[in-house]
Amino acid sequence: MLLRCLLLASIFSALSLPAYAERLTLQLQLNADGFSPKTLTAPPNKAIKIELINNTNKVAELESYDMKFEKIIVPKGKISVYTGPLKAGKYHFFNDYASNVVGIVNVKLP
Amino acid sequence: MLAVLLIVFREVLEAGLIISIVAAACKGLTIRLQVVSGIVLGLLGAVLLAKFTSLIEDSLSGYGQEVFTASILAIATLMLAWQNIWMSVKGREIAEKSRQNIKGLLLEGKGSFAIVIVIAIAVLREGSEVVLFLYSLFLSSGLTENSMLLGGLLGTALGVLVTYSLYRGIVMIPLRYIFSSSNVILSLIAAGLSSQAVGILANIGFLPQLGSQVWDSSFLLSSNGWGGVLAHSVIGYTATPMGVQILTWCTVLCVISLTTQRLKQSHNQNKDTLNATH
Repeated sequence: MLLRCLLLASIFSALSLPAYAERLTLQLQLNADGFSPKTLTAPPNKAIKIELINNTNKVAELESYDMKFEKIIVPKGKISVYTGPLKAGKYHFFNDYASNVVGIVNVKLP
Repeated sequence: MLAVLLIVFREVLEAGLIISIVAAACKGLTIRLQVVSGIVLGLLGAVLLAKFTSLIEDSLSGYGQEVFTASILAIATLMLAWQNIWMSVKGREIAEKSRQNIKGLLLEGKGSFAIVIVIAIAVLREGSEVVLFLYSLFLSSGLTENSMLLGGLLGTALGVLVTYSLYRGIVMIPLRYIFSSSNVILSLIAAGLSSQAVGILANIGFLPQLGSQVWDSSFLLSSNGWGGVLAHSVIGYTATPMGVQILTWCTVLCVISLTTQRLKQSHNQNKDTLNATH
């Protein structure tokens, strides 16, 4: 019963969520020689949106274990992934379809 | 070619891990047909999914991929819960009957249709990635550079081989004693899948996070290491879970194990009353 109440409560609070309007958007590109820029900087405790443009002619997958996203991007495509709010620290993302195509989100106070 | 081989191998193994554990946990049931049809369905779905990836991505104002993944994870959770409950009821009946006529009904796997869907989803999820990856290699390199494609095919074959040996291994070695409580194993996988699903939905703002990083256990097991990745695909481990992930993980585990427990008890009671009237 308690669990059911908790579930219901979480469903209803989801409906009244603020629409994450104040998300910080970071721009990222994937080129033949890897991500550009290789390091993104963001302040702590802020919801983040990373927009990726794939300039290569290969399918890629933008993935991060510690930021919990995983999304396929077709050649010349554009995607957005969402994460955060994050605590200060360094977070890693990579192209799952290539070896050693990596980048960092550095979360620190400006 | 080696890079391609490794990437494809990893994807196949990720699906294979779930399949071999689920199949091993259902030992005692003949589910070969279910496993095979699950894989075939999953592969068909994977090709379709790969074809429509951009379409899915563009739908639901850019949240298409997230919503789709979360939905299939939720379906897999429900199916695992169903299979678990079905097995706890059926397992007891089978155990009782087997004492009388030994092999008659013992290995009947009818009713475990849920396994087909669980396996199909595991294959679909990783398979569509492999299909897309190989297709893009094919497009960008053509047939002239088919060492890349060869790597992909070899990676697939190797992944299947390792998955099968893993399954044989789990069934053979004393580890199978752990699976005598297949209840627990299947519930853990279901809990993991559901917490991944709510994690995805919370990241895009469709669910409240209830705390974005409740704790950080990366000093114990980092999400980025192979152990963490393994634990992620089997029980949904993440070093920095959201509140809603912890809540869901625990809820699903409790609901499934309590339900199976209660069903087992009521079954026992029925049997007792039957015995009493005879």
